[in-house]
Amino acid sequence: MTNRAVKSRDGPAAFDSLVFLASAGHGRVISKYAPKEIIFAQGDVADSVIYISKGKVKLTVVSTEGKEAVVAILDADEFAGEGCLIGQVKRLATATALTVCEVTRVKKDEILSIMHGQPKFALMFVSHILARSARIEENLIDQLFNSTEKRLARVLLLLANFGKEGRPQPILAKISQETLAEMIGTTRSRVSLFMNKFRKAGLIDYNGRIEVHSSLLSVVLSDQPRSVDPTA
Amino acid sequence: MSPSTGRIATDRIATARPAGLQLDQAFNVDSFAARHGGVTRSAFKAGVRVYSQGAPADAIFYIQHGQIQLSVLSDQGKEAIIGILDAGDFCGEACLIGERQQVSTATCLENSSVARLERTAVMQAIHADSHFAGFYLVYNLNRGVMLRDSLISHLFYSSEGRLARTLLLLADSGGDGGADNVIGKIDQEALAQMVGTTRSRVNHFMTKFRKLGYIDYNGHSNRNINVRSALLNAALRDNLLGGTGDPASASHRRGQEQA
Repeated sequence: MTNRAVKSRDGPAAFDSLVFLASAGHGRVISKYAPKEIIFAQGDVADSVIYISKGKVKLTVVSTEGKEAVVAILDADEFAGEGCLIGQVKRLATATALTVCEVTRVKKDEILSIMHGQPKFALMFVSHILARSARIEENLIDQLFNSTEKRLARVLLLLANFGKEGRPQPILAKISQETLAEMIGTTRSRVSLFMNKFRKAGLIDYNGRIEVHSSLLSVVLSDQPRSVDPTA
Repeated sequence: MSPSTGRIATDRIATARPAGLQLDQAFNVDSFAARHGGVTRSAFKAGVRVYSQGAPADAIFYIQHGQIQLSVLSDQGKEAIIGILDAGDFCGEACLIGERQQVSTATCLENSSVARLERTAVMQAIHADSHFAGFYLVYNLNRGVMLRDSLISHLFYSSEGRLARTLLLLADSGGDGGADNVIGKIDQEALAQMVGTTRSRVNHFMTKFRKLGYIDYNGHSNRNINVRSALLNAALRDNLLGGTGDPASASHRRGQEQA
């Protein structure tokens, strides 16, 4: 899973950002989480950046009315909680493990000092943040252009790794229809309706876990927002 | 970014603008050019494109003066506006994460001065200049926060609430935080493309906002919009927009198709 960072602008001979991030040391603590365990909660003190070395993490935001939205599903080799670097004193989202996870908590001061002293780390970190923003922007464009049905198809394809290097895989983590609804901004019953429709059309299979077929792409391809690969 | 992120966690409101690592030293094009090279400055007239979606992406752009709109076109010809950038903002950063083509179109809304920074010079600067690296990281972390807030507003709010939020963001872009803020030169079509709804819905809500005193137009000729930010913000916060009688209210919207 960690091959993506090596591949990023950093080059394999970096000061080893990966070794740094995946090991304990000064200002860095490693923790393991079981599925559904909370890594940090909205409102907690924000004093560290989280690096995910293994597993998948769900980021959710709850409105004051109690509505919940999933703002991201993060994979291994991604960061969470970086808002502390721009003065957020509390977590603005909740990070929950979706699978068994291993994460490194890097103290804010430690990450700032490495940013300063290790140019390759700085480049890698900026690349990660830019890539994250690009993904959020794609989700936003998806909201602006696409129907609920297309948004659901796109999220399923993204979760199944279509468009990334490596083989597409059935969705490993159990993702509930409620979570899917919170990711695309609709209700669980709408998700259920479209999932049934996709299944009847042979685009997906599910019994417990969801298997996504590449034919599901046809649902999204009819209106791509960009000339580049929409699932990249 | 603005006080307009509404009811999403109150602490988000205070922290949307940079606080910790500060952006206090504005980006200095001259010293960047002297240290890293690769800088070209250009002036653009209002309405002119700085770059177009699909064009080769090999530089980022820094707005020294003026205002730029970022838009995206779908294959079916639908247009969405994903950002309005002011002096001090950057755009075109997709080239730094391996995109070969521009993923959006940047169009000047006013006469603008723009510095083009070669991709290789920017990469070198992030690598060799920890001051720039820190500055650029903070800039992009803040941009990420803004984008995430926009996304959250789609997941939580009705099109009416999103229109209110968009008006507040536009009104606050001067940053003076006054009670009344004027938005100039924005038509309802552009607002619809920013909110993700139709022009007729925008028109409907704008009329409603005007009747409620949240906004007014000064004069029919120039169509400037006065936004009573405090009132509109309070309405958004107290969930008054799209109340229960309105089919587009937040509580109803989640079951609906996107307009």
